[in-house]
Amino acid sequence: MSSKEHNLRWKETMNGVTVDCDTELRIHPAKSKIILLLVPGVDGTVDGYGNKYITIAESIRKKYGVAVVRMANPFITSFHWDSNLRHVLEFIEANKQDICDNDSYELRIQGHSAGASVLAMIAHEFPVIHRLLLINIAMQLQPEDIVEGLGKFKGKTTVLIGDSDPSIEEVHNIQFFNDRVIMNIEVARNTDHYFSGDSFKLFLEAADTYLFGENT
Amino acid sequence: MNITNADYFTFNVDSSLFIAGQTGSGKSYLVHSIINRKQSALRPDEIKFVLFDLKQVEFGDTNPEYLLYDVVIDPDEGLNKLDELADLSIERANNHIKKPMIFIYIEECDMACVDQKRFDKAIITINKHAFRANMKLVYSTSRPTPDVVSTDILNSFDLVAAGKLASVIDANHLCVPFSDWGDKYSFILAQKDERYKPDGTPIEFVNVSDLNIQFGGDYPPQDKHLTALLGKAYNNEIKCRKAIVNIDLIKPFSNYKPKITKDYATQFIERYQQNSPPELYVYEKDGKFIMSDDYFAYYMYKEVEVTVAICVVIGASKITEDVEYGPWFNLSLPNLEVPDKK
Repeated sequence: MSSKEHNLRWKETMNGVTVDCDTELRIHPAKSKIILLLVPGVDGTVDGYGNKYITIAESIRKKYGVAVVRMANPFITSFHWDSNLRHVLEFIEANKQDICDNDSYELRIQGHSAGASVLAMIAHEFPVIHRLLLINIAMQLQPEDIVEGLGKFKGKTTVLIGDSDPSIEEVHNIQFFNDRVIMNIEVARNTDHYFSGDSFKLFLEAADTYLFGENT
Repeated sequence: MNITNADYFTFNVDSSLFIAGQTGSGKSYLVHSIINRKQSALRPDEIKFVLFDLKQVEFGDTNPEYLLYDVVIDPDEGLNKLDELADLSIERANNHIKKPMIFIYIEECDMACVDQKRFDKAIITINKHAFRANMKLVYSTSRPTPDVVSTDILNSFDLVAAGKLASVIDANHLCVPFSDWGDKYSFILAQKDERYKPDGTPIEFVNVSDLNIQFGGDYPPQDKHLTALLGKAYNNEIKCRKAIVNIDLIKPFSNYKPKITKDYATQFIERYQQNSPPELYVYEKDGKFIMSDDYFAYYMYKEVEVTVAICVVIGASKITEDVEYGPWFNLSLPNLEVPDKK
C-alpha cells in the first residue's frame, strides 16, 4: 500500500538563537473517522527500525480501514521536546480532509520512549485525542509534567512497559493522580526498552491490541 | 579532504572535532566508536570523559570510573561545567599537566540556546589550549546553521567532519563541499587549512549539487567522440561555427559534477559581465548539443540561471530552433606562449 510523503519545516527561536527544524511525515489516507498517529522515540525515523512503523501502519489500515500518519522525531534541543509533535498535530488538523476525508475525527496515538513522554505531557491540550498507547515511556523526561499531563487527559491511556525497561518502577509509581487511576499498565515480560529479539512482534501488534482490539 | 567513517577515524592526532550531519547520518555512532576505543585503550586514571548528553539517551550506561563529572543533562549546569573546563584547560596548559587526558563530548546545541556568547567563549578557550592541556573536545550537532554555530567557534576546531547535511547553506558555512554522496555513515573530513585561507578567511565552495544530478567521480569520463571531432577540426577536415545556444539544448556527456570554488565562480561571473564568458565546445547528437569539454563553465551557466550559452559547434548540426549560428570557420590549434629563456 502506498503512503504520501510530506516534510514539515519551521523555526524555533530561543535567546536570539534560531534553530531550523524539520520532520518527515508519511500519510496512509483512508476514509475514516479515526486517525492513528505513530510517534517514535527521540531521533526515531519515519519508517522505524526494521520498517516497524510501516508494518504497523499498513496492518492497521488494512484491518480497521483507518487512516494512519507516521512521523520522524528528530531531536531539536532539550527545550523543544514537544515541538515536533505539536507541528504534526497542527498539520493533521489542517489536512484532515486529505488524510481521512472527514471534518471530524478522533486521534489514537502510539508513542515510544521520549515520544510517549511528550504525548503524556501535551495530549490533554487536544480534545481530538481519544486514546494513548505509551510504550516504554521515558520517565526521566520531566516526570512531574508527565504525571500532570496524564492527570488532565480525558481519554484512555494504556502504558505498555517492558519488565527490563529502566522506567518500570517509576511507571508504577505514577499510576494514580489525586487518588484516581490515570492509566492502565501492561507489563511485557522479558522485554527491554527497544523491544529487542522476540519482543519485537509484541511491539508490532501493540496498536492493534491496545488501541483497536475488542477489549480496548 | 578525506572521507572517513567510524571504522577508520581514530581522532588521535588532533584535539578538537566538530561533527555535523542530519539526524541518522551516523554522528552518534562515530562518537561512540571513538569513546569506546579510548576506553578500551586507556585506564580510568589515564582518561576522563565529560559527557554533555542533553538528549539523555546516549550515555546512561557509561562506566562512572571514567567520568570526570556525572553525565550532564541540564543545559544550565552544562554551561557552568563548560566554564570550569575552560579554566581547567588554561591551568593545565600553563602548568604542563597532561594526565589524565580529558575528553569532552557535547551533543547538540542546547547550551548555545541558553547563552551563545558564554558557550562560544568556553569552547574557543578549550580548543585554544586543548593540545597543550591534553584535552580533546568533540561537538556534534544536526543543525550547523550560521545562527546556531558561529564562524568563530567553527574556526577554533582543528577538524570538521561533515556527514549528510540538510542544505548547501550548511555546507558553505562549514567550508566543505555540499554533497548527497550516499553512505550515511561516511563523513567528509576537513582540516582547518582546507577550510580557511592563511589570512583566516573561509574557503568557499559554490555548490551545484542542488541541480539534481548525481556525482560521476573525481574526473569526468573521456568523450572519445569529441576528441575525434576536435582532431578533425584542427586538421581542417570539418568546420566549426560559434553559436548562441539555448541552455536547455545542451546536454552534458556524463553526470560528472565538479566542485566549483568561489574563485572560479567569481572569475566566471566577471567574464560573463564583460560579455566574454567561456565557450563550450559541443557537437550535435539526437537533437541536443553534447557538452563534455568544460563542466565547470557549463554548471556556472546553470548556476547564474542564464537562458543561453556561448558555444563552438563542431561539425554539422541539424538543430535550427533556439540557436543562432555565426559563420563557419576553421578551428586553429590553441596558441601556447613559451617563455623566453633569455
